[in-house]
Amino acid sequence: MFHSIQAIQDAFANHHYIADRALATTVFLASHLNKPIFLEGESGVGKTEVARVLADATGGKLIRLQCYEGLDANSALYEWNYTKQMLQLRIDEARGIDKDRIGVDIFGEVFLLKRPLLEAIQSDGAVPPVLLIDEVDRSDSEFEAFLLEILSDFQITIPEIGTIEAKHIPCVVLTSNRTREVHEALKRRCLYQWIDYPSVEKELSIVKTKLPHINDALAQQLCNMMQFFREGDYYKKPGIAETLDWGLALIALGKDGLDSNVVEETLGCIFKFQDDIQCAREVNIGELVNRAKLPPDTIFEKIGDDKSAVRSQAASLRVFNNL
Amino acid sequence: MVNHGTLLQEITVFCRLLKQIGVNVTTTNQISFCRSLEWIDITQRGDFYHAARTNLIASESDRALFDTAFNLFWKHPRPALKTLALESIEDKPTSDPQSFTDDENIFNLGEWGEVGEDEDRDSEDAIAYSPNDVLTQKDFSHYTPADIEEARQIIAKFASLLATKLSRRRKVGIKGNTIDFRCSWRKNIAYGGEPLKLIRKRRKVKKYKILLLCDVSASMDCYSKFLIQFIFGMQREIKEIEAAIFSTRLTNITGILQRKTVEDGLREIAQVVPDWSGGTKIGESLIAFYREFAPSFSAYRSVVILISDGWDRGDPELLRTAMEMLHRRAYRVIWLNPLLGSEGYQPLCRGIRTALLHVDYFLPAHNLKSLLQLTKVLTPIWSS
Repeated sequence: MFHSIQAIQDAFANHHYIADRALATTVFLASHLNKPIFLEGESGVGKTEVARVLADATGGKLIRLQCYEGLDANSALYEWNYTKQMLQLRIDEARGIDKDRIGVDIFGEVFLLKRPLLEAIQSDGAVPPVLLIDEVDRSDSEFEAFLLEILSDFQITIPEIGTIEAKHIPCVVLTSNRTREVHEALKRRCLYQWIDYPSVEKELSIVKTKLPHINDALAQQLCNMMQFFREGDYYKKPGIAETLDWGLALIALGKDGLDSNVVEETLGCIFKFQDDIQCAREVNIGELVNRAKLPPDTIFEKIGDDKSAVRSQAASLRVFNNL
Repeated sequence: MVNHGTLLQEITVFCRLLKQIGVNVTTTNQISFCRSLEWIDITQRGDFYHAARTNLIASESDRALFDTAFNLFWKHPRPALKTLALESIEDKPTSDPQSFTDDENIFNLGEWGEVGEDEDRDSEDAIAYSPNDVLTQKDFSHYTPADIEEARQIIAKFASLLATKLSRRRKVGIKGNTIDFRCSWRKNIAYGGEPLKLIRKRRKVKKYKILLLCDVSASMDCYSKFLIQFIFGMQREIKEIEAAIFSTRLTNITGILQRKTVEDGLREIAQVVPDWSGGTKIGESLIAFYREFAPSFSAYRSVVILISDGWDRGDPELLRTAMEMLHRRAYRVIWLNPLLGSEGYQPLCRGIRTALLHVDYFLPAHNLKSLLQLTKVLTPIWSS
């Protein structure tokens, strides 16, 4: 258990994850209030990684449930091992065991196939496990309703065995790529945190922790370029995962700095849609590379300020109109 | 429990403020926030803010609102909220695409007439795109019964295709292509565990709600006979349907559809819709559509069908935002475009191009024949 928000930031940093104060506060409160964390953001910004790092930092077991349309209780909770039960009966018969005793214990735990949710609830390690429910937005309403029930009680009833209550309430992390809105009721049960694309400084420190062999100048240029690309109008903007892929590619190519040729050759690391690659080829990459080589404080002075100013202006207008 | 005293009251007022400006805060969230305060150092403004944010909002889109409210409320000395409201109205920024204040609407109302006329002149170019076999006469009350019957059958096919889909979930029963072991096992206990009866499962049929949004601006004139037939046909086949038509302004015609015969309905729609054959403001209309129908949307079982040629007079950025909002709320978004029926047409209008990112199917529909083909094309995709 963590004692302060700072402790979480430090522990995450030890596991190569740079967490800002907001995310650390959410994780801290979640662990003390026993509430699930709901992480939302574009793909490739490190949502799933939060759960993984949290498990490493606490020493808890990571249990992952990947969501998809049609995911049902059988695959999320438990299933009986029918083949094994059937065979057990046959063996019992062949052994000539007393008829009254055949099949008495086929609904025991040995015949139970534990799926992630049951596993998380039954887990009896010293520290609570971390339950990662990944990409909730891919599941359907039936499953969301089912989750609501599990997340509020942390107990499961199996008719043949009885009710199983959680020994430790697991740390639950739900993630969503926001391909559709997840039901409000589910989100309201959780502590909400939006994970945005990182700022240049944050991305730089992520690159340096994740790729310790990268040279400083290249790392800086890499992060600057990524910021430029994210400003562009692309169908799928590159996330941190893409930055790291690209960094690895450049290291493998033995580059110390960017030039327009190498950027064009490695565009496939950054964009995953042909339209986006085409679009990136149409911008003047040479100019971008030159801009990326300027000292960082001269490039990014105004961008962030402008955007947030416009946003807060729009918001305050709505606030006042409603007062 | 820490005794918060007046802090608790302040928090309650703050949550009420949030509710007032449209951030849906529940009591549970508020309690959870209060509990959070026991764990953090509330003299640190940053931590207090983060704790409030993570507890009280449940969507990134509320973030900006929340920030503003937070900065206003937790300020020392706190200005009286009433005076603040007055001040801000005086110096509010003029260009703000996100806000729809009353003033702006009045402004737009005045402008509508002009835009409409302007569009009329342009519409001749638009008609040049249309295939010749489509009737251009607007008097759609002269239908022969044979016409109607033929149309009805084709539309019925299309409608029943869209209104249902095979779910990924399975239903247990006697028929089906996979065996449900769980149920079979239980059933066969009666026969001593001998698998005499197999219980099977098959995919459930999921019913969808259809939200139909139809463009009746001047450039769509030559298709209006078809469109009206289409709307009525859909309504007959699908129980849960909501329909609206727009050119510069949105008109909800669900009510009219439900209580009238086709002829009466046609007449009434012609009366009710003020801007038939006007200009096109797709973005604004979509936002209005979203606002009107959003409460009845269910992201899992709503299919939005937009029928428009994409000639847009409004702000393309607004169209993009609106489509994005719709797309996130709906199960599928289908854009039926009459112009796609004409050879050589490409969606080059900037409005359409930006919006297409948020459309699942972009399909031609200029007459009943094309609809019949559409049904054939869509069947394998839709039922997969």
